[in-house]
Amino acid sequence: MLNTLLEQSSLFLQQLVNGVTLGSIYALIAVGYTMVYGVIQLINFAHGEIYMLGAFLSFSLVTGFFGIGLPFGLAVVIAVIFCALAGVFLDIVAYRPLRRAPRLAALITAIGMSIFLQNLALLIWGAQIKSFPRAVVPAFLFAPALQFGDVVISWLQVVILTTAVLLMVMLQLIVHYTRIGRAMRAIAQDKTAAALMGVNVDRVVSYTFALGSGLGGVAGILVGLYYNAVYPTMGYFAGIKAFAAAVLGGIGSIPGAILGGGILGLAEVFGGGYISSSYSDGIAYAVMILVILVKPTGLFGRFARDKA
Amino acid sequence: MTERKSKKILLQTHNLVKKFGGLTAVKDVSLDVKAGEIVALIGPNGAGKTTFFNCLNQVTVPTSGAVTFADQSLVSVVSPATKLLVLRLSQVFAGLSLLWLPLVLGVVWPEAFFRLEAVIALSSLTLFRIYLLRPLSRFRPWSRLLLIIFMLVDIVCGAVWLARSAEFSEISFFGLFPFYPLLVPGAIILIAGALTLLVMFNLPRVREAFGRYLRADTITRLGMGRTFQNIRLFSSLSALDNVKLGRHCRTKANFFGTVFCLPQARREEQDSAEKAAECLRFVGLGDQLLTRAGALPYGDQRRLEIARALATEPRLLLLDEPAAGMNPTESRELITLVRRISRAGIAILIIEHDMKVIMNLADRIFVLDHGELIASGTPEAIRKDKKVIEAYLGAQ
Amino acid sequence: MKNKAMHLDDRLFSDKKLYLPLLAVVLILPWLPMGIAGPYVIRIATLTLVYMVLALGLNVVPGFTGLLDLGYVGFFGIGAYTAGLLTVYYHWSLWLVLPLAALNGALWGILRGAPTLRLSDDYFAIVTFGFSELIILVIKNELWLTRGPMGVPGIARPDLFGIVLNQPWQTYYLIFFFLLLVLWTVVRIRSSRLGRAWFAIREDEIAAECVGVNVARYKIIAFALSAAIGALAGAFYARWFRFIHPDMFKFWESILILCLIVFGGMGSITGALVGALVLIPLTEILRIVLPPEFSNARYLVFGLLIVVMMRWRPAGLLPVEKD
Repeated sequence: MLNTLLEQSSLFLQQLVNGVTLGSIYALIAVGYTMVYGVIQLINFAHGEIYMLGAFLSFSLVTGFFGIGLPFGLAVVIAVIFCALAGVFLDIVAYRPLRRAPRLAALITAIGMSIFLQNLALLIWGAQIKSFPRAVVPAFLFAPALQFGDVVISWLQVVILTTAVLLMVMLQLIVHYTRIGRAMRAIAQDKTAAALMGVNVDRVVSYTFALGSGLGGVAGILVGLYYNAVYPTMGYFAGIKAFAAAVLGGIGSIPGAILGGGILGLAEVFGGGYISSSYSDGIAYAVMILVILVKPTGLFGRFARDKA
Repeated sequence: MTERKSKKILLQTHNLVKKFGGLTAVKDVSLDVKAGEIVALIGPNGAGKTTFFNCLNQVTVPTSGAVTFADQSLVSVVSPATKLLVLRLSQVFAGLSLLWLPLVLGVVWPEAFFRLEAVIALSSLTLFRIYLLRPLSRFRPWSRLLLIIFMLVDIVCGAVWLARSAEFSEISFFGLFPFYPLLVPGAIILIAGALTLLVMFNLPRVREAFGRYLRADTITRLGMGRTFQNIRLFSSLSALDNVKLGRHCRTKANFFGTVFCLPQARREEQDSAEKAAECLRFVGLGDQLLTRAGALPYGDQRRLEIARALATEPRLLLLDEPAAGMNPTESRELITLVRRISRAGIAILIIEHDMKVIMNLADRIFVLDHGELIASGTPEAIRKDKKVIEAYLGAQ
Repeated sequence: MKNKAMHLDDRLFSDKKLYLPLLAVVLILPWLPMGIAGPYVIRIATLTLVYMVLALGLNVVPGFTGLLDLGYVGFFGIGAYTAGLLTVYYHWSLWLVLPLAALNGALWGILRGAPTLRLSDDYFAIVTFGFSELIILVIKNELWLTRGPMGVPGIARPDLFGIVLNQPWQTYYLIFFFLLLVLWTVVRIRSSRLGRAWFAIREDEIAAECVGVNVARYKIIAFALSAAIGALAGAFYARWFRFIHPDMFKFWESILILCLIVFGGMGSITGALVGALVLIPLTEILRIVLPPEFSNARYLVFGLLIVVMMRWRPAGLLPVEKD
């Protein structure tokens, strides 16, 4: 009995490690949804596509898809910066003209942008799954970092976790201790009042998009490495799951998005491992629907998205 | 004869309370409106007048108190003692529910009980169930139903587990202590507890604590029409369609009648168009039938709202600041309009800031300040009332 | 004078000058001399009519009650699978299978809608989206029932009074009949007590409640009707295409249908018809004209179209109200 218990627990621990890794990635993406929703109450459907762009750009820059192969580190930095810019561009082109329009119009536009970007990627990179060639990625990432019995933690997982934690801490610092962060919080409270107090709303929204999209881009690169697969529809699935995480944590709340990402990652890994692997995608949808139906404000939500 | 008839009380509130979190917006307000009367409700900004209106037709559910309209109880009194009892019971039940999921699992998947992950899943599901019990203390009508369903499931699970108890006699927890001696008493305690609670939650006193809340649309059908402080018209529909919507609660045409063009539905449609046009003419919008409601000037929008409320054939009309933003001419017209409505036998409860309108119209006035009723009486009495003057001008 | 004030939607069945030429064009289409292109043109025409039905059905929820439905393809799938499986397993007639599929769709429409009654618009959209994804997952994974990724092949053709409808023009007329049925229903309801209640909910839920509209009930009716129409189209599609597969009911289809009504104007019946009439043949033409590696990306156009419409013509090509 004890033996089987040990065996089970090592499987359990491995799943735990995988779940936390996945969860930290979801958290990185979810933060982007939550920040944008916080400031302009828009579900930015195209956020998943930014994440996909991050993965594709870093891949292309590393492998020389655009003609020049860059070193890994530089490629990552450029890709992230480009993602941040893409987010700002998205806001300026698609969402800003609709600030005063009904919310449904902005939501539909977001869906349209998501489809547009996804198909654009399909057009540029094709539908086949791309993988990072081993030669261009630092080799140590794939070596095990820690090993207890059967439980293995790879360097990549360590990197993902530390990156996620560092970025989250940084984000919290930005939101709570900088001018722009204070402006973001002010806009989230009351856009009109913030504008009257001299906050340049459009600029702050752009910063929000840049921050959220940058984090999304990082997540995209990390996932591209982790699963070693980059494909145009990757943003769609990850985006939905991250959105579910944001809803679970309470949309508009950054700590909520982090916690929600963690819970969802664990739920997906454990659900896939113990309940049914073919329904592991469904867990995110089910969690999302349940949270919306039972407690639309999520765990830490400020937005009571009830009618009236 | 008519004098006695008009003395009949149409609307009565009894200690109506509405709390938003820690803020009490309406505090123990008791007032009454008699049939055919024009009653005004005045008070400084933020005194809770609109909240009081919303409580009357249940757009917001009052915290406690009672509303009676046309001999029908809209909200029944919730006594604090009963509320406490329900709360305590639900807490006891939350404790009992810790036994619930083991029982369910025992029925559907007994082996799972000995797996680590299953125990984690189980405890989180139990937490979820306890969480679901929270609304009980807020007296949502459906929370009682939820509770009853839970308890029925408990009873079934307990019974099934008892029936299958023999299968578990060999099993022990992690090889340490036997399972069977815990099983049977546990199941019996749960069944007994669930049964007791099931009976208690059906006691009349407890049922009443959950109140009888009518939806706003039912209340409109009972004969309480209203307008809004910030005009709420269906702005992309025509004026006529807006008023036809007022006829909605007096008509019956359904899906099949409409699709198959049954003569009854067609007649009804014609009839409601005529009645709606009549209402529009009554408020002086007879020439604007097909204008989009949102395109009407401000004063006309206010009148259109009144026409829409009139089309519901109300016995009591709640007017929420109908003269707000009107110029003197328009508000004079409004006074005549309200008089004409009153003459048609409709009682009116009006919130207004414009003292000229109030003093001209009202038979009686109630004054609210900080959610409390501070004075009531005829316009002359109110004009002289010290408390009212203080509330409006500040204590001197 | 009065006729001029009436919207195109109300004139669909009352204005002879409007509907007679349209009817003539639709009815003559299969008999035009088109040579070898004939069958293909009829196929596209049939597909367009199917999407017209779908657009009309979807229009009921976002157009009439103002709630964005991102999972409409779920009902299309439910209808197709209900009809397909009943036909394959029991060999029932179309005229038995079709109402059953519509009823099943309505049932799921109600089941999906009932818990969402109090949700705000964007959360409702998310729930509908999640729901349709879950439906597709179930279809994919429950092999015992749906055969999962193998799809359901060999579904019998539609039949009428025991005669199998073999010819393309026969199925074309059949779906046109269904379109007229659906069109009649939505046009009648649009200007009735029921339709007004929906519009009231779209404009202002609280005010609707206060004038005596039972909001929950009318929303449920809208969900049921919309889902039933979607399932009806799905059922016909299964019997016409004779093969169904989970991948036919992906999220993109929902967006495509949404695109049709966004293009024509949300809430406008003629708008939904025009949207399907323009966009569905366009997709098919794009499929042929573009080289295969680009034709996969033709949804790019739709994404762009949605964005552009929302930016410059949010009310669509045929807006409901004109000032």
